[in-house]
Amino acid sequence: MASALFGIATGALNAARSGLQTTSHNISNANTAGYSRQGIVQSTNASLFTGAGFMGQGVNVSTVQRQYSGFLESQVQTSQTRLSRFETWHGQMAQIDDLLADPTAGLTPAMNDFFAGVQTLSQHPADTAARQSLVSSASALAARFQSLDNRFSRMLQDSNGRIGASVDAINGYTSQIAELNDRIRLASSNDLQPPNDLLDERDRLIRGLNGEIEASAVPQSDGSVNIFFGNGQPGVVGSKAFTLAATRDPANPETTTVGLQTAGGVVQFRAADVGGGNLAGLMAFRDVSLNQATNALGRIALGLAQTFNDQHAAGMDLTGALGGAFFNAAQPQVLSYSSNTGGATMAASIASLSALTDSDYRVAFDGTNYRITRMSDNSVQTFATLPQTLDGVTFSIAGAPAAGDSFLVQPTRNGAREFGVLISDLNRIAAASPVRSASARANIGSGVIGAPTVSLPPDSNLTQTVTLTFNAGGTFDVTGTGTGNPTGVAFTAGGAISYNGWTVRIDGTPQPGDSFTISLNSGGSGDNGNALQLGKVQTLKSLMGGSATLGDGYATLVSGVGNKTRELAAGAASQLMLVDNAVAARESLSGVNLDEEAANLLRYQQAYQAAGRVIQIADEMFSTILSIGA
Amino acid sequence: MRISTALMYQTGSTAISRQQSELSRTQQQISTGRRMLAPSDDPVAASEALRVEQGRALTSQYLSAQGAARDRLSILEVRLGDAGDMYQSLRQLTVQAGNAALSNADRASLAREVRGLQNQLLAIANSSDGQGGYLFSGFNVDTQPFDRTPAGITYNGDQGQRLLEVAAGRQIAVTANGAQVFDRVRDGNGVFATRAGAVNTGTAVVSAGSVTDASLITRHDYQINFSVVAGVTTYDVLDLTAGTTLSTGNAYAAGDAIAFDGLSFKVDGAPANGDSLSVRPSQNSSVFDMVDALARALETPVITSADKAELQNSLGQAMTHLDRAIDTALDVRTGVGAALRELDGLGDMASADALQADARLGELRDLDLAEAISRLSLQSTALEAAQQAYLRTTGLTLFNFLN
Repeated sequence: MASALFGIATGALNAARSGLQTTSHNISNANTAGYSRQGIVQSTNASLFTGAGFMGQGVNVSTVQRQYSGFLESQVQTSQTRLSRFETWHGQMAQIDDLLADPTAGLTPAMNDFFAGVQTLSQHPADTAARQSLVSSASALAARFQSLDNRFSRMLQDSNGRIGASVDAINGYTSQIAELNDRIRLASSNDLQPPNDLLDERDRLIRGLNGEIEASAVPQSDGSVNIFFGNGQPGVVGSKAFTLAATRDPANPETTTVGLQTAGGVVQFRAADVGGGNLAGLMAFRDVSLNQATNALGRIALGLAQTFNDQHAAGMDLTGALGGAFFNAAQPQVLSYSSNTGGATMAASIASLSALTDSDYRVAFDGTNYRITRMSDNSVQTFATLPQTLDGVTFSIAGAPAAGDSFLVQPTRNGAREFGVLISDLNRIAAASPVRSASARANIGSGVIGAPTVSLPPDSNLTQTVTLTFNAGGTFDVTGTGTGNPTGVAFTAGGAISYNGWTVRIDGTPQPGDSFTISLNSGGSGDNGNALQLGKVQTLKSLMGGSATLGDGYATLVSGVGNKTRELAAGAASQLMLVDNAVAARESLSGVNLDEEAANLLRYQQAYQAAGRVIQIADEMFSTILSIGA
Repeated sequence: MRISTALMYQTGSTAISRQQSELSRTQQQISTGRRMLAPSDDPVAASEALRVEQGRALTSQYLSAQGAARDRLSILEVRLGDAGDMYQSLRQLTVQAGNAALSNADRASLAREVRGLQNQLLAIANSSDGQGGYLFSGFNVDTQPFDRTPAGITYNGDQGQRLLEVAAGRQIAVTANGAQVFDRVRDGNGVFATRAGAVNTGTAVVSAGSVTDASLITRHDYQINFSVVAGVTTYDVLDLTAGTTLSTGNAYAAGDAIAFDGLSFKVDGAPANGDSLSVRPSQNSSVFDMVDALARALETPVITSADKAELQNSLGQAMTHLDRAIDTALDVRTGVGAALRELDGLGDMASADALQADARLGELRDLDLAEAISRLSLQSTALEAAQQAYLRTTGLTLFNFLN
């Protein structure tokens, strides 16, 4: 009888000691990330049947159990992967936001200074100082464009680097998870007891993996989990980890893409394959936001270069020649996929400035047709032949492409990078109008001729001398190269008269025999006619279908970046709330509460003391029996 | 709900760091004075601010162009005034020269004065624009507009007129060229010019005349031929352009008006047989040539009565031509004055625009300091509260009571 007591008390002591041990394990891991609190599961020993019925035989510890819910854990993982995507994207976006934040360092002041320089030129067209100041402010503007573009390309390189680092981290996580799968399978094959701490460790790794990429864990019957990325690309199967590789994009050597390393090479991930996490945030930032911002800035630079050059070409410089190119206007960037097998070269040129978008285009040849995809919205147009003009860009091809060949066309990508001032000789600034009008001194009528306006692009016969001679009966004859020398042209006072690319108006009543000449503006260094037209480029609505000036284009870029940053910040904030809730729910079940553990300490301590007391009593009972014989 | 100890600490510290970041943001706003630290703070206001800024820069450009226009027009106004003074002096000399009591020597000395005034006028016409160019040479600012050549003083500039954009869509002329001011003054009365024949031997003096019916004006060349037969003077009117004879044998009396085709002029004195007058449309002629002609007329000695008549005819022509020159200069000057007045109005408008743009920029970008400071104190109170709450909640643990 006493021996039965000893047995029961020893079992109780063991159970209380296990309780104390688990409690202290909980206390020591109160701050361990991903730790799930553990507890012992006690059960009664099989009772002994006696004549007096079933006699209890004490307690045993059947298992140590972690407080865990797979559902709550996956909630944390899913919300975490979304949060990471938002936070990373927002963090990157905030860099552009900050870049455009300073009102004195943005594009607007440099642009305004430049046009103030044009205004000064129109006030003092022959003045070297005014010309010098225009060239200086143009160079400052070019430097501003280039420095913004330079920051954008550094962000691109930074994103590429971070994508590589993220891929390394993912590979680290998957190989550790695969290894843990192995250990867990071995450990749980013993007596089917769960290796709680290993399971916690694996959950922690899966959570970390979800920070980098969306990864779903599918538990297997042997205790291992299989990991799938995004929409089902394998990450870990059993004890095998698949390796991701960051490689140069075959479409665009400037960017890094992510793919699954297989025996046959790297299988590229599409955006949907990544789904969430840091990696998705980086890729979305780089391929959507940064791309758009760079292209939008390029479009402004290109717009300025082209419209200013076009007007400059219709002016006359101090040497008497028509204006040359003032700014360097970049050509669209065309990249052939490295996987192309045909010998064709793609070329693209700007056909219409106002129709340009801030998107890139992919041209794919399927053997018969060319599919041109606008990458911002993935809209596709199919053409049987090239050249074709789409969104203000003319796509043309030389040579024979093979089926499956693709090209990436970036119409405005280099606009800001290659924006530069081509004028260095101050005499080559075309401030004057190339033609002037004059009335003959012998005129006796009251006809007054206005200054000619020049239409763009300048006509090849623009500066030919043209004479308008009036006849009796209110008509005039025209003589001069390029006019076709018409006679008897009807005259309306104040009406437009256009030949050779110029337009003049004659007011009043010319008399028969009166004549007017339009000729080269030789020696016209005091003329500011073209400078006035150049100044109008600032308010010319040349972008976005003729709805936006260059300044509007920049304002749209800034508000676009601002809105996106704001949207991402809001997205991240609401996602953070979901993560907080999911973590709180998980912690509510699995987290360690030290007060609770303190109470458990007391509980198991008392149980231990009570069991000790039982042994003491059993001992006393045994002594009582022994003292009977003494 | 169970609360885990780690979560309790984390929640407390997250709350504190959130309060701190808000506080730091407000502090940053106050120290920079900017409401928007980045476009994302208010994307709509950020892009509006850029547009307002561009509008403000345009207004500055207009203000600067207005200043430049005012400078140029002021120089022009002064020079035109100077030219007007010269014309008035010439006019006085011409009146003086008409005095019948003057001797040939007196007139020769008047001629020297006239030549002196011509030189002064030439200096005005060749004056600088204050920026290294010539004021009156049109676009050819590097070319001296008027040169003395054997054929007289000729104009070498062009007919260019510089415009400046002084308000959105408003361009005003800020220069006048020499052709307009000096080289192309209509002679005669502005519509037609009368001349006595160069070889007249009589004493006919012809007036500048006037238009009586503008609708009948033909702009033809006419000739009036006088014939004196037995002491009776008659004249024929010929239309040289049409090759027709308008009338013949008209009786002539000194001081009569001769009128045809909507024009009329007076002839005085006694024309000799075979004397003629010509009438032709007014032509552009240079004021310098006119002054030359005046000087030459004064230098020509008067001996016969025919010489006297010729002098009177010349003085009469000079007088009408001077009046035309004065009118021309006055016209241009009136235009300049109107432009200057318009610039004053535009300047007021542009200044108002600039003020308004500055105010709007301030509203969009600048911080409401009072609001920000009260927000700062509210946020620091909240931070303090969060810190205290953290201390309180984390200080409570059962272990405090175990011993």
